[in-house]
Amino acid sequence: MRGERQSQRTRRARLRRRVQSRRKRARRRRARKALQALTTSALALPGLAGGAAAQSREERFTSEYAYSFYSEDALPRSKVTAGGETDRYQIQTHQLRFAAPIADRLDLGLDVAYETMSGATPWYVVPDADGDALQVMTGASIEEARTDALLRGSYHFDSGQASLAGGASFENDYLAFNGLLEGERHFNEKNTTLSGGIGFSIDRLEPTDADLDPLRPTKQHRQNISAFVGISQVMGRGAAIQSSLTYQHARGFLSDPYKRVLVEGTPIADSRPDARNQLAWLTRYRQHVSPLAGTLHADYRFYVDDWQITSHTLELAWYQSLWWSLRLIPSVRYYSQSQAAFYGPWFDLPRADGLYSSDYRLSPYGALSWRLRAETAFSTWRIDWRASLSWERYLSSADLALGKVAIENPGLVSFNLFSIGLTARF
Amino acid sequence: MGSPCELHLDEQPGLDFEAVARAAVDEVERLERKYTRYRDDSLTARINASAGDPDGLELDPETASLLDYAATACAQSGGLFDPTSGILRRAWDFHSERVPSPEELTPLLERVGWQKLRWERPRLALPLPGMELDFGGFVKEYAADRVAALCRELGARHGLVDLGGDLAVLGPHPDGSPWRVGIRDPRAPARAIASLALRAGGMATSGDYARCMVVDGRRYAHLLDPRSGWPVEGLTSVSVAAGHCLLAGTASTLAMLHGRKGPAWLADLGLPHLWIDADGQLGGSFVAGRHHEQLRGEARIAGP
Repeated sequence: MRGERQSQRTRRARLRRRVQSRRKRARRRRARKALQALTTSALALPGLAGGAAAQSREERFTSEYAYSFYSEDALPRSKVTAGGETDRYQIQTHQLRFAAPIADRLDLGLDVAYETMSGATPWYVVPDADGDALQVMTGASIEEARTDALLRGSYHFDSGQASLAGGASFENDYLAFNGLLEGERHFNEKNTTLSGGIGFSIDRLEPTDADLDPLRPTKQHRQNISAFVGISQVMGRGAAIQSSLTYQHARGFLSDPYKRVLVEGTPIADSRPDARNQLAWLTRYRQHVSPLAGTLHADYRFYVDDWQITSHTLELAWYQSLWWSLRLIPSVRYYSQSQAAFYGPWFDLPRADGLYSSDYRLSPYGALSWRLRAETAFSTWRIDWRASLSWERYLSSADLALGKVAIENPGLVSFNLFSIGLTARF
Repeated sequence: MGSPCELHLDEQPGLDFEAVARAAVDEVERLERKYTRYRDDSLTARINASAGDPDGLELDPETASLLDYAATACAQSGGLFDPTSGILRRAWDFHSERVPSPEELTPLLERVGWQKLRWERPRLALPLPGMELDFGGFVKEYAADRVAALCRELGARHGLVDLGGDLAVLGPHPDGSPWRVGIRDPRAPARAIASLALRAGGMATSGDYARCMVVDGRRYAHLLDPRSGWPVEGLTSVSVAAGHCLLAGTASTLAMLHGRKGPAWLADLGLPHLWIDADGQLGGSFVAGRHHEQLRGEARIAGP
């Protein structure tokens, strides 16, 4: 009897302790949240954001891991030539990132990514008896792996920063080196930021299995240079706008060595111009809506190149803050592009310039995708953690394009993309 | 600013000290002129003169941001931080050594309360005649941060701004060593009870050693709870270090207003701090032995 009472007392005491410690934790969370709110509010005051406490530099060691699984839908049998492979590409990506301050104003970061790809890809398009398009797929399933590495150094000035980065990308049929120089400068008490940068890449392609396909080229090169300028402006109460212009020039071997195109009934090698000039104009708008504790992100991108492709992208995202620093981000994106000048599902007549492609990526189409992302942040063992989880569904078709499309490319892709990420700062 | 102000700058080649000092003095004077209660031509006076006018007046972006900050502080503290509570001082004359009657306090309390203001940036209205807004609770701390930012803008890298105990660091000494600052003993203001090292950010101290009265053996501090109109008991001095002097100031004021619960609230907040209670007891993360737990190298204690 007495033992029972004793154990009841112990239980009650334990329960009390647990309730107390839960209350204490809740109190602490409230206090820290208040401090965060005050800090945000203080940083809105003129001049305070430039202070020592508000620099956006890496103050601690950051390491990040992300995994994503990209899976293209199988093509319907009706769109593929009889007996052809219908399963398409799958890509698994592992990404690691490390960043740390190495001197007073200098940060160093390293990004490494490892990708494995497998599956069949569209090869060329043929008309069936009714004149509808059928996809011919590459026969065997491809197994490939790619490794990317990028090293970046950033120097922080009082009113801006400059970064220099260099990287390489390896694949069994592909080798690329790239470099980047970019900077930004804040004006007008950090309400205005100007940014700009230049980059280059040198790629070498050595298509595999050249013996399997006599039309595959053996060794090819291409070069890329790009430049961008941007301006962002804080527009008072929780609103900001950013606009940037990017120009890119590519030259060299720009055709796809793994694709063919049907010309006068014969599948010949994909053949594109040896230069391409691209211009993209991106405008982003952010609006915080205090009563809902959420932020609207609206982005529009206009793109044009001298292959005569024009495209429009509109993306809307809603960043909703919930309890326990959980954030839900639903977003939707619409895309529409016109075709390249030398694109056709197949060609009944030869072209004077000898350029041909039936690549679905150069065809006229539209795409709709939606994504749901969840993020959370927490602290344990003096480490600040951030975790994220997201799923994206992407559909593309000729019906979604802005203009009218006569023949839809049967290779247009639809995919699912799952990602998880974990970041630790200590 | 009603208290001695100092600007400490270390030698720095190529720095125009006079220009920096001039800019600092100009900035302090600008903020003083703009926000003081003691001049009829200040913005504060204009705001308070508009009390009762339902249209109110339109404010400049700086003042608007300060009011946004005050609104956040008020909301996050459950009304403990309240820039409309200044009129309560009329009932509490600390020279008279007399405790006010409820009849004196009630009509004043009716005109106190941030939620009674209409603040829709950039327009502020004080709907009740006789309502008053007082920037005194945070503008000195903001001024310290502003002066530090201005000095940095002019190229100064090593210095300390001290506006009557509200400190903002421009940067550590040229050799990287921190600024050593003393915290006054509330009972003997000439003596430092603790000293700490400040490398960045700011520090502020709230204390009631300046003004208090004793009536029938009971001590009444000058710090008034805006909700009851009565002095808060518990702590006599609180110092807090933070990324900005403004934050440090709000935290130390709120800790004082929390009274006996101040030490627990400070511990929850997680900022480096020191408190002294009415019995002369000392506590907080500045106190040797516990500092490394919470300071993360921002501020270090030299010992009481």
